[in-house]
Amino acid sequence: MTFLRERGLGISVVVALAITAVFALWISPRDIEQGEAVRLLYLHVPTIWIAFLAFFVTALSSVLWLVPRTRSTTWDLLAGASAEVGVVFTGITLVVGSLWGRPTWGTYWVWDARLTTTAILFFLYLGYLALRRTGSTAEERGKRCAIAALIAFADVPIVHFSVTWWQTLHQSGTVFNNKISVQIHGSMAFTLLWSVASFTLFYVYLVMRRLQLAELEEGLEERELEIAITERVRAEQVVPV
Amino acid sequence: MTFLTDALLVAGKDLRIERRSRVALQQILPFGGIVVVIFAFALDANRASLPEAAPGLFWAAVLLAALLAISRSFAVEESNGARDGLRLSGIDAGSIFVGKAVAIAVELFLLEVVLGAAVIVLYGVTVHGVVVLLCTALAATIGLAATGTVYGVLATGLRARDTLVPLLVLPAVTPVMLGATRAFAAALDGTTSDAWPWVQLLAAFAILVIAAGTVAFGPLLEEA
Amino acid sequence: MEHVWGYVIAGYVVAAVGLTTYVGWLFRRTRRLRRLLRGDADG
Repeated sequence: MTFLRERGLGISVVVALAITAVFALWISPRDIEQGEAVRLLYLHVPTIWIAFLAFFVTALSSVLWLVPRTRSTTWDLLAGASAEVGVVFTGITLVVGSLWGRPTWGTYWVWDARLTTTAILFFLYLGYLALRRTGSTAEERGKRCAIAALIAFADVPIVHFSVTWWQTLHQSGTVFNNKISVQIHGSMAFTLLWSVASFTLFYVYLVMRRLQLAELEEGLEERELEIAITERVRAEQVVPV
Repeated sequence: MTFLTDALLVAGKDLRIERRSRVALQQILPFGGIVVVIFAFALDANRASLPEAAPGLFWAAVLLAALLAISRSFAVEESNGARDGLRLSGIDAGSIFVGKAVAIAVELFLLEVVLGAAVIVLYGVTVHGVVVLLCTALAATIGLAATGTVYGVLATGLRARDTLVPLLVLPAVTPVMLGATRAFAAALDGTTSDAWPWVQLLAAFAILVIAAGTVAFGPLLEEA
Repeated sequence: MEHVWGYVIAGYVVAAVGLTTYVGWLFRRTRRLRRLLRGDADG
């Protein structure tokens, strides 16, 4: 992506997020039941959505890397980049969700299905990130990480299912519940949708930049390897006088 | 049929190594025991709360011991080019996976019997629903062993293996932890009918992991 | 519950600080690596 287009995207992201903040914190009304606390949902819902999107992208790129015909280092680097962004957003989800829980439920934490699954999700991918830092060769790292990513991704619905069975306190999804009818209306719905959209754009930008960084780091490793080899060759070519 | 016979061959090898080295017996089992004791300190050895917490504490102790068992299972492949030997043996990777997982499962199951007895005595638990308890333990153990075997081979050869495997395994086996604890709690309560759905969840988990592991083990062993 | 706005602001501050820190780290490290690689190419 050209520098100007990247700049353009970056600026759009900042503008979109600024609009989100204005709507979330000022223009949208307080909720009848939750009061001002609902404003945290305009943060909390997008961040967990982005986290799921991010980990889905990680899983998808992992598959693309594993399939020999589509294998390319880019997929491996993308998987790592997206996972890192996903972990950041999962962490924010947990903190913001916790701050939302205090005024609405009266407590910072409950062991309900969603919170618990999100916490497990956080640790699953933290482990994945730790694994990414161990690989010796790109090929070796790619295989281990791809499989680890897929196991993590498959495990999340299982964890969620088990924990839902175990406890439920969290309200059923405001937008994505079984009845598939939007339960919030008007400017609140707009704020939420705009927020989700602007954060999605933010995600795209972040992953792009993180991928760029990953490619630079790969380049650095290759460069350092070349330098080391060159120096070794030079040292061995010294002719005794 | 060669798939299963080969798997049993590998399992037999691992169990024979254990019989000769006695690492699980002399190190992992006592470790499980001391964890059970420490948990009693953690709850102030208060006789009222211990029996209630017993299912969770038991499975937490088993989980921690399982991490050691997994580590040991792959440590034996480190020396004397054992891993290369395994790869060159011509045994199908899936068989190796099942074999190693079975060995870990057998060790864990025996460990659970001993730790279970310790928990009953030390925490003052009254035992009901033995059949449910056994079925739960079987399904949970297989799930644990299989998951551990997958991550074990995944991290094989990495320098950070010993710290990485626990970090990878524990979040992944939360469904097992949850299911086993709930099933045990229901069984000990007397409401065994509540336990069976959890046993089904554990069995489904175990089957999924075995299926995934059989496929993934080959590629991962190549990289090890 | 009073001081609900406190929690709201805290949440937004945490998110903002967290994300800006991450973005900042990304920018800085990218710039450093680009400089490093360009330097190697010249030298």
